[in-house]
Amino acid sequence: MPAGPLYGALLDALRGVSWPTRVASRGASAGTHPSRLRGNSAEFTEYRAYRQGDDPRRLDWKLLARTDRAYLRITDERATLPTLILADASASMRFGAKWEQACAMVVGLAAVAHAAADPVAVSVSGPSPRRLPFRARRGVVGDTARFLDGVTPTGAADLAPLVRDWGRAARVAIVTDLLGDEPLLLRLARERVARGADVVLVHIVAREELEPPAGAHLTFDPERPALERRLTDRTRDGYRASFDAWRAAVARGWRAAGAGYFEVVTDEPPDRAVRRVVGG
Amino acid sequence: MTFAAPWFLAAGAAAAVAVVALHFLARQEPRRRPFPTARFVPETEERAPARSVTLSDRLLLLLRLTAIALAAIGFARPSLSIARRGLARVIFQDTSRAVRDPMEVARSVAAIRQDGDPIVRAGSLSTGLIRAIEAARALRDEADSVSIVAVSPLAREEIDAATLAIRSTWPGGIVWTPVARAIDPMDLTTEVRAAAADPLRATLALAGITLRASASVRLIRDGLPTAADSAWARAGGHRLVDWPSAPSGTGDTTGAVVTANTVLVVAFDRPARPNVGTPVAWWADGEVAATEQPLGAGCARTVAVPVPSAGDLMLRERIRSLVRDLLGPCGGRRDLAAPDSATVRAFVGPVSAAVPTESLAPAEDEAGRAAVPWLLAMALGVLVVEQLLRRRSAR
Repeated sequence: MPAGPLYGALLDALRGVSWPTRVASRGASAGTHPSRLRGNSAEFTEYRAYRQGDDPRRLDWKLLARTDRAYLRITDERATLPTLILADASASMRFGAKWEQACAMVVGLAAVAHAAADPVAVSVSGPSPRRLPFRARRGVVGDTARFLDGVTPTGAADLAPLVRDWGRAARVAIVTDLLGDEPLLLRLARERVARGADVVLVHIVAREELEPPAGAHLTFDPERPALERRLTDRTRDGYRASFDAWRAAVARGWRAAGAGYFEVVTDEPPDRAVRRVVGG
Repeated sequence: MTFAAPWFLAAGAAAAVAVVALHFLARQEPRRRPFPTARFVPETEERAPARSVTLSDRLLLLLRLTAIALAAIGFARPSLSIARRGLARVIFQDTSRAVRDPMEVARSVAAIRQDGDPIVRAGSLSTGLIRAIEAARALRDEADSVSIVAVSPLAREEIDAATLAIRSTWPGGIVWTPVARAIDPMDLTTEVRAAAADPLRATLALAGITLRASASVRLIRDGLPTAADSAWARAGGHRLVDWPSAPSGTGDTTGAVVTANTVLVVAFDRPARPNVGTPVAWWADGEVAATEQPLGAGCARTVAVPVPSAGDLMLRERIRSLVRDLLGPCGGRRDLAAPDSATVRAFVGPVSAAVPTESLAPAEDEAGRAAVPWLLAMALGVLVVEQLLRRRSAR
């Protein structure tokens, strides 16, 4: 699946879109995001009285000459934001257009992050998880598209094992249908948010899951084939109510954890969905 | 189209209704399909009834109904027939040599025949009757009644030992349309090409056969027949008899010569065998003594019977009969006289010629019978497809 023809329109639509972080970055390398570090950039913030041990090079010599008082000139730093995008490639993502929509979201988010010179890494769950390391060079978006081309959703792969990749990431975007290890994932996300990371959850939902087909069907979970349920006219309303309640609870839980939660239905245009996610 | 066993159609219709009813009543296990959010479907113990017939079910139903229809039609033994008529006639057109003018027979047939009336042509009255009766029975499904019309001169030579027995198998009368009989060709006036002292001349004279230049028979004793002789026989329907006066002997002797009407017992010095043709005379041991070959409207004969110049053989009564046979009409002697009135009455039969077709035994419809195995094979094929489709749907 070549990246150009499929993602070209999406990348064109996302040109100029930025992805501001909701938390200050701890990164040291110069970038576009607010940093927790204070430095000597041109963006003035405040004066602070000189204390022993401060770097004398940061003294405001003109102020010292005028007032005979030693003050330091404090400025805000701008830093890059290493962004990790986790993609769920379990068998449930193969339903409807979920995987296609997930790939578009990953590529779109990677493109927006890369446009701000942020290093981007991509991890895909599966029986043998695969990963693209953090890189900020040109071609990252194309590499991401080709990387996803080689992935076929299968099995009951959990996202939690990919947590080890979070170490360097200041921002984590998780693209999943949450039908795997959602409670564990939420707990880990809560911990990461507490440590100052920006966590965004993109919840992929198929239109067929929202509006199940008419008629009688013996449905089964592709990740757990033994789980069979009869979807009929009698059980359809119960299914909708249960599914809606679960989605609402999940949204509440993730937002309460300090993460961003965005539900993306498969028939939503990907560029609009990406704008919605990065616009926060 | 008619059916020999129409109750199979009713049975097939009943089976079709039953199959359709089963398709409506059957509680079908719904198709298994992946659904990632299946966990949110409430658990229930009820079996999901498939009240709405899916496309595959309709296809299966169509295949099943097709198989039932084909099998029912096959077992009902269909036969194709045209629209039913009130009276149909089978016309027997006599083409035997007893007919004087075949065109007259054809004109009579054309005048009698109506649309759909079958014509049976035969050169033998017995054969024609058999075919006409078969054709009449074949009209059982096309007409309410059927009659047989015979356009024939009904000469005595046409009525053989089986004719009246065959006629008795037809329950109705036969409408006899007489046509002119052929003229008896028993004209033995002969043109002889032989030596003046040929002993056969004496025999011909004693047999009362007129000898003249313009005759029906040309007997060649000296020399060989020429092309002019053959043309004369071919064009005029005459007999050309090649009877060599000095046939080459074989050194073999035989005790008699036999024709259709004569047995002449004499010790002959048998000459060479005559040319190929239809035998008309034989030696006592069965070897051919004379042959006949058709030659246009006439015929050419080759006779290999030696004519002794000594003794009184040629003056005997038997040799005269033998000569009459060998000079007689092509194809043998004829009996073109009218049959006696009793034979004619037996042939024509009852006054009413039309026979209700219901009383006739049905004739086998070859086309319909041939279609039965194909219909059953098609039904079997449809059932095989239905089985494959059902297995595929079950997966």
